[in-house]
Amino acid sequence: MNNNSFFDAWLNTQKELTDNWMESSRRLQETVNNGTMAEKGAAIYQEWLNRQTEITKKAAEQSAKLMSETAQQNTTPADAAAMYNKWMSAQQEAMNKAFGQFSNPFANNWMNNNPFAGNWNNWMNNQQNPFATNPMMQWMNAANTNNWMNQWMNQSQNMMNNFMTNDWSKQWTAQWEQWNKQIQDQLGKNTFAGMTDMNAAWMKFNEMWQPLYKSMQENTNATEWMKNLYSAEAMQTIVENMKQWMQPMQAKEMNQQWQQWMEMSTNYSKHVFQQFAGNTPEQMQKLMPFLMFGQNDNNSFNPFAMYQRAINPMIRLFNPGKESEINERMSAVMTLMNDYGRKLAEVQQHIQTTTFKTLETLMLENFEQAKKGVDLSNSKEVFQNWVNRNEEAFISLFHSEAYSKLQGELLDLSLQIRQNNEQLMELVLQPMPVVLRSEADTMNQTIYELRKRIHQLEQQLEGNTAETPAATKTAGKKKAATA
Amino acid sequence: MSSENIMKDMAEAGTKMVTAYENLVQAGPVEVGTTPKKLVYKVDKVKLYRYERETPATVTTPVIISYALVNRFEMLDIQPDRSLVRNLLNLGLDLYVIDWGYPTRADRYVTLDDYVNWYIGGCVDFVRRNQDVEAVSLMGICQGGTLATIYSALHPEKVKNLITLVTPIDFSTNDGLLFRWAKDMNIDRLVDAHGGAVPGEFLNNGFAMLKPMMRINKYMGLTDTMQDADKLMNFLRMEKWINDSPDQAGECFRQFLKDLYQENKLVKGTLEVGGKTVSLKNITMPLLNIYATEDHLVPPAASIPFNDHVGTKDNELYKFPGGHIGVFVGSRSQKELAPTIAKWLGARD
Repeated sequence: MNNNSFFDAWLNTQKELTDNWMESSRRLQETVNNGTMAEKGAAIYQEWLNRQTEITKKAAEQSAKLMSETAQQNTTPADAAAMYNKWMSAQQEAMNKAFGQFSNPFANNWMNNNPFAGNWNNWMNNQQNPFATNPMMQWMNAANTNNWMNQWMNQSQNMMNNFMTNDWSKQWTAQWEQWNKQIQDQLGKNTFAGMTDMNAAWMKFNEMWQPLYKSMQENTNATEWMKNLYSAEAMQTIVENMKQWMQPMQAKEMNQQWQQWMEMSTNYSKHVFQQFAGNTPEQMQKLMPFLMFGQNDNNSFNPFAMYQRAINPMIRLFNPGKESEINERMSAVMTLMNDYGRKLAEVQQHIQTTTFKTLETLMLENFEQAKKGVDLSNSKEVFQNWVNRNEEAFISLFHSEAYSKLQGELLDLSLQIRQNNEQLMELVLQPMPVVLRSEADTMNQTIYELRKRIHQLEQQLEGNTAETPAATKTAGKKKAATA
Repeated sequence: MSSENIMKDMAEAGTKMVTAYENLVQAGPVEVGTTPKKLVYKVDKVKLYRYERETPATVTTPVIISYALVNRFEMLDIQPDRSLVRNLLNLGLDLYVIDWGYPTRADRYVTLDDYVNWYIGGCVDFVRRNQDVEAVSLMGICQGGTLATIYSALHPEKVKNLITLVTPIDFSTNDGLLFRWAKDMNIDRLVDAHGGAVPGEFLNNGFAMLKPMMRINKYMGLTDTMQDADKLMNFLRMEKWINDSPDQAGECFRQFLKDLYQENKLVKGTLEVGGKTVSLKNITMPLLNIYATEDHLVPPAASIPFNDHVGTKDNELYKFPGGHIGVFVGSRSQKELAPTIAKWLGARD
C-alpha cells in the first residue's frame, strides 16, 4: 500500500501550521519585550489567523483527493489500521512538537497583557485534541473566520470514514437494526437488540482478528504485528460496548438524568424568564457605547453577550427571592459534576486498561500458539476465549479494594448530584401550583404512621393475637379469608 | 482462518438471525407464575396467595414461602416444567407465597420491623388462624430467607420448621462482589437520594456487573437457542422475570444494608428489630439450610455458617451444585430440590 502522498501532504500541512505559530509567537514575543503589544498584537494575530486559514484551506482541498486515492488502494482492514496508526502517530508527533515549542515562559506574560490572548490560548490548548469541537469551534465561529476549522474537521472526519469503508460489521448489522423496529413488544425488542449487539461485537472482533491471524500465518515478527495490532476504530467500538455493558453503577442513570436536567433547564418556564429577567442583558447592551464593547452578539469580546450566554440557563430557573440559593445549588451541582466526571474517568481508565491488557495477553498467547501450529481458524472460539478472559479479569478488578472504594465514591457523588438536583427543583417549583416531593413525603409519612397505629389498635382489639395461639384461633376463624 | 471462513460464518449467522427473528415475531404472550393460586390475605401492598391443590395435602403443616424483596417470587414457577412450586404441590405440600408487591416512594417509611413483624407476622398469623394450626413452616429464599430467619428467631413458637435457600446470614465474607461493594457504599445517601425508594433497576445493574460478561455469553448462545421456538420461550420467560425488579422500601433497605451487609449484626447477635434483639440461638425449630456451590450472589461463605449459630440440633446443611438461580430452574433441580424439601418436611410434620 502506498500512502506516502497523503501523509506527506498531511505532515507538510502540520509543518506549515507550526511554522506559522512559531513565527507569530516570535513576533508577539517581541511586542511584549518592547512594549508594543497593544499596538501591534492585533495585527499579528490577524496575520496569523489569515495564514492559518490559507494553509488549512489548501490542505482541505488536497486531502479529499489524496485520501480517496489512498483509500482505493486499501484492500484489507489491516492496511487501513496501519495507515490510521501511522497517521495518528504523525498527528500526535506534530502536535506535541508544536505545542511543546509554544509553551514557553513568555506565554504567561503575554496572556496577562493581551486582550485576545485568552482565545489564542484556548485554541492552543485544543490543539492537543485535534478533533475537539468546543470551545475552539465556538470561538472560531464568533471570530467570523469563515469556519475554516469546521471545514477542516469535517474533512478529517470524512477521511476517516473513507478509511473505514471496509467496516463489515456496520453493513452487516444495519439490517438487523431495521428489523428490530418491526418487533412490537419491548421484551422482544430487547432480546433481538441484545443478540444483534453481541453479533456486532463478534464481527468487530473478527475485523481485528482477521488481519492479526493473517500476520501470524505470514510469520510476521511479533513486534511488527503488535504495532499493527489494533484497528483503532474496531477496538474503540469494542471498548465502548464493554463500557456500555459494564457501566459503573449509576453512570447510565446519571447521564440520562443530566441530559434531562439540561433539557429542563433550557426549556423550563420561559414565562418566568420573560417576567423576571426579560431581555435585560440586551437592553443594557444597547445603553453601552458602541466602540467600547460593540453590539455584535457574536463578538466574544462583548461581555454582555458572554454574560447572557452564561447566565441564561440559570435565569430561566430563577424563583424570585431564591436567586442566591438557586445559584449556590447550581454551583454545587456543577462542582459535583466535575468531581463525578473525574472519578468516572478513573473508573473508565480501570475498565479500559483491563480490556486492552486482556486483549494483548490473549493475542500474544494466540501468536505463540499459531507459531506452534495450533489451529486458530475458528474465530468464535477465539472470541469466546476472549470473553472468558475478560470475565476473569473484570471480576478480579471489581473485587479489588481500590475499585470497590472508587465505585463507592463515584456512586456517592452521583447521589449527591441527584440530591442537589432534587433540592434545586424544589426551589424552582415552590411558586408553582404543584405538590412538592418533600410535601408528598410528609403526607406519606403521616399515612404510614396512621396505618401502623390502626394495625396496632386492631391487634389490641383482637386480644393481642400474637401472644396467645388459642385466642388467635378463635379470633382468626371469625376473620378468616380477609381478602 | 481465511476470509472465506469469515464470510461463511457471517452467512451462517445471518441465516440464523432470520429464523430467530421469525420465531421472535411469532412468539406468543410470555407468562410466568402460571400455577393457579388464590389471594387469601392482604396487608398494605403485601399479598398472601395460597396455591390451589386438586387433592388434600399429605404434609399437613402449611408452608409459607418468603421470597426476596428484590425480584419476584414467580421465579419459583417460571414455567410449568421448571417449577419448584408445582413440584412441591405434587409432593403433597400445602403452599402459600408472600407477594411483597411493588413499593413506591409512598412506602419509603416501611421498616425492616414492618416487613418481619407486620407483614410476615400478619401472613403467619392469618394461616395459623385460617388453618387452625399453632405453627407453620417457613421457607425463605435469598433475602426472604434472612427475613424468615429473623422472624423465626423473634417468634419461634409460630414456626414449626424453617427452610432457607441460598440465604445470606453471615455477611462478613467478601467472597461475593455484592458483599465487597456494599461495604464501600454510603447507604444513607443511596436511600435518601432516591427519595426512599431504591430503584430495582439500580440493583439489577449491580447484579449484572457481578458477572460482567454474562450479557455477552447470554446472547452468544441465543442465536442458536432462538432457532427453536420452545427454547426461545424459555429464554423470554427468564428475561421477563429478570427485568421485573421492584423498587425497595427505603427504611427497610437502609437497615438491611447497614446492619447486615456492613455490620453483620445478625451473626454478632446485635441486630434489633421492633425493639427486640434478634438471637439466632432462638432458632430452635428444625432447620434445613440449602446453599448453591456456584452462587455468585450469595456465596456459600455467607450461608454455610448459619447452622453453627442456631439453637437447634436438628439442623441440616444441604449442598446443591449450581448457581443462585439454577438451584430453582435447572433440570437437576426439578428432580432433586423439591423431593429433598418435601421429604425433610414430611419427616417433621
